[in-house]
Amino acid sequence: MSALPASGPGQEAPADDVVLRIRDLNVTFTTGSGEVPAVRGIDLEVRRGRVVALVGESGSGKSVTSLSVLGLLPSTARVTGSVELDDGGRLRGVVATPEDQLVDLRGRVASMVFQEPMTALNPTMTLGDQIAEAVLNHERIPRVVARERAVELLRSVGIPDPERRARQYPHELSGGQRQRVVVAIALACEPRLIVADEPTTALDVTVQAEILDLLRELVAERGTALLLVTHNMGVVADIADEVAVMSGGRIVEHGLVEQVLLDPAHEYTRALLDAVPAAPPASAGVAGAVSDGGALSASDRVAVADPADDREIVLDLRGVSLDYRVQGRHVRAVDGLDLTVRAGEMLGLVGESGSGKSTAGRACLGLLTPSAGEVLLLGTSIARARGRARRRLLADVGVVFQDPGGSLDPRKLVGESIAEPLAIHGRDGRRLSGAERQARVRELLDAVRLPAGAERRYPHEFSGGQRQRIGLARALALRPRLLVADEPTSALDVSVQAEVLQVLRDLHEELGFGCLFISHDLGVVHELTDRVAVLRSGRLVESGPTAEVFSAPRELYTAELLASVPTPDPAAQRERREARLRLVSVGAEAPGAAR
Amino acid sequence: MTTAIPVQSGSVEAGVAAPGLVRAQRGGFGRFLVRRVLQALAVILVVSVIVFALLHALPGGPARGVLGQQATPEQIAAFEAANGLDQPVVLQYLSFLGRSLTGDLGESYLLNQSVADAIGMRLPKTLLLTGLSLVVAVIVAVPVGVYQAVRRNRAVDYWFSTLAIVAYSTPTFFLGMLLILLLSQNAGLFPAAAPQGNGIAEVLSQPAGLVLPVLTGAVPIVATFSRYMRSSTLDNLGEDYVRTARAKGTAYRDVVVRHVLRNSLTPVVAMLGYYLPVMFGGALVVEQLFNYPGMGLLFWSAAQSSDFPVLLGCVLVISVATVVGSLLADVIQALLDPRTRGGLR
Repeated sequence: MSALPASGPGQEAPADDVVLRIRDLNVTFTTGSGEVPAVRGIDLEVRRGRVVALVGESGSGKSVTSLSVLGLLPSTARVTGSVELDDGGRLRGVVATPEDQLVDLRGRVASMVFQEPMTALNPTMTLGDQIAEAVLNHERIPRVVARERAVELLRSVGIPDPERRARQYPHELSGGQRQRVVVAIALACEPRLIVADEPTTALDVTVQAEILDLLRELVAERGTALLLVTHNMGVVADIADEVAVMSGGRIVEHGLVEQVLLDPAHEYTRALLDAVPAAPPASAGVAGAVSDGGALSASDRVAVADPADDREIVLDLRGVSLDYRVQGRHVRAVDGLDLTVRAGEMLGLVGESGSGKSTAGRACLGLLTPSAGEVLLLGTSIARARGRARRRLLADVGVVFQDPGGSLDPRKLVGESIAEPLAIHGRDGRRLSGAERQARVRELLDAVRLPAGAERRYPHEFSGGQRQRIGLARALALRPRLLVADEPTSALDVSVQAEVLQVLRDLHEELGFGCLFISHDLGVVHELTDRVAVLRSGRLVESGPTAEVFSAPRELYTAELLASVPTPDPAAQRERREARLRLVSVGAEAPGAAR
Repeated sequence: MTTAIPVQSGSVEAGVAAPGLVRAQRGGFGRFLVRRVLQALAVILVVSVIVFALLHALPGGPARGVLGQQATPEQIAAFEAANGLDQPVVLQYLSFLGRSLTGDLGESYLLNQSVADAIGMRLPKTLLLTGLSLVVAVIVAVPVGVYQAVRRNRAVDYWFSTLAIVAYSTPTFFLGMLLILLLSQNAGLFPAAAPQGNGIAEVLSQPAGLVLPVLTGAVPIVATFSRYMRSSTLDNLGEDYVRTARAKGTAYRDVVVRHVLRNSLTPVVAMLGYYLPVMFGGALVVEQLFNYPGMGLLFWSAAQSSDFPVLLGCVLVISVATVVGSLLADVIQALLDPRTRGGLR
């Protein structure tokens, strides 16, 4: 397989096709503030043709473990214990191994797939060359032959027109296709083990499902072992044979996938699974969804609440179109969107990346002006309000963004950040005194369940979930009638997400504001919202009561989207997967639903 | 102008990214180029107005400068009439503009030569000097910067960084004198005077004389660009694609040469274009110091003697060089990066 002579001392012959054996692995990072242990004495074995999932929340040590398999940890890491890879019948150590031997192992014996397909590839090298390089690293063959191999590899990971693609650069491909290229690089030398670190986390659910299909196929066809690092229990159920659950640098539970996911022994695993939002039903809607995805009838196209509902309409989008101007040309991001949100109601706006859902959200905040149609807040058009009237109108809208770190000023005390809207807008048309503001800040912090004294600390002293709750407190400072929440929990771990969502739900019930909840996570939307609107390429595909849309989608696209959300139950997930594949084949036949 | 821009450890991208590039991606390279050229022409026009106005605001005007303090009002009136200085400024400017479009930049008051000829004789020599300095500087700065980035925060890195700080905080005239003292007076390796002569060929026939001027011009550029290169390389070493390359078994050395170098070079090469005016400023001092008959020396003597047409011509040439430099920078960057090159096809 390799032209390079295998070097290093051979260990005892591996039993039972073990391709990776980790024994008592400890990884400690030396930082400015001392030694930080990341992995504490873990044992793990991965066998040929098996998929082992390493799950855990951020900081659990799962990514550090995955990097240690290829000896890719930074120089600040101190590693003890052993990591051994099977190299043609001999186990070869990775810990404390000279770099030239590691270079020989990487890519040939074990290779890696990373999370971010957008940045994992060299932007100035053709895809063919990047794949060919992996081959040339380990085999002495002419460059042309390596290029031909690259084209074959592109074909085998399902890239259409591979000859042309091989000459292209990464930016010419979509995220999902780029991830396929990263997989092709990992496969180039037919390694015994592929380590995949959150390979689908950055992708849309439908693309995630496709990449998982690809990985499953490769394992089945080539007998490659897969060590899959992920935080997504649904992904685990979809593809893994075994699961190891990590927490605080230790493996707290390890077993077969059915056992761990359906009958977890450790309380941490149970808590983790409880925090996962229930995936919306998939198979139920499959039979019903037969629409061609073309034109909708007028009543379907309008995400308007039940006319019998007499609660006040706080947000009303009427035929809103939003354009981006690129070099004098208009690119339509949202096309003729109708939406309403009533007081006390939660409307989920879902769609994949690029569907225009965040753009629509920004228009509701008055940050973008529609090129057609109008956005009404409390019955008043934002575009027509000017000066003080506009400010007063916008004081009735609160907003929470995705990144809890980036949306708080790092140099401001938490109390100052929360008090800022109070200082700008006052309350009921009058300015608040310092003492009144402080009292209100404490009230808000209490409402989002942060301890007293939090207002005198800085954002960096809080965790991601706490920061997002601070953001929520700030958004609610003026008692808004409408809250726009744009992916508020997408950057958080599931357990933290559950916490933040609970706070949001409680406050929503208590304060009765209308909420536009923008998310790509159908599970969260399913759990949280009353009504849902599905967006695709800037157009409203389908809308209605969440339970109705999710259990009996009328549109093929909605059904496919729903079926793509993996559920953390292996048997149920197998059904979902089959349901999705049926939908995809239906979609391929239906002329109007080309993706 | 002669001291190099100090670059701190921060990202080089901020100062380097051409603002037009992002838009160029979608609008097509041709349109981007046309717009940039039009912008460049507008800038040159504005510069010519400003310089013309400034020179006319000189106390006493050019006549007093040329004829001296003792000149009688009659002499001055005669000079102004002879050179068209008695006409309204706007008319003077328009006629200057009209003539310069045909390549006629007027006659020098003192050199007994047309401005175009004076510049035409000296510009190639300055281009030769700055060009050589640039080539030498890039050959040294790129490997030094990359090496520092790879060995970041080790002793070598600190030594090079210290050296760079010393080099770009040393005034060019002092550096030149130091080099003359050490390499010419003491060691006797190279002559202290630059090669004389009218043509490039004559200058090139005395290469030993070029060593010190080129070196003096190159040192501050090395100091600056090794810093740019270091920080650009550091940025790229932290990119995900580096990890991907290592994970497929590419040796670290090859990762640096094959992947990181190209990506780090793109913004730095473009930066060289923006650096052109700084180098012209440097030439002013270097040429004066080594008595090298180039644009710098011409500019210097014209400023001293209020040779108004020559001064105006020099400033115009330098501003054209500046604008062309930044235009080249944008184009080079667009060509090196496949993400912007797409519009060409």
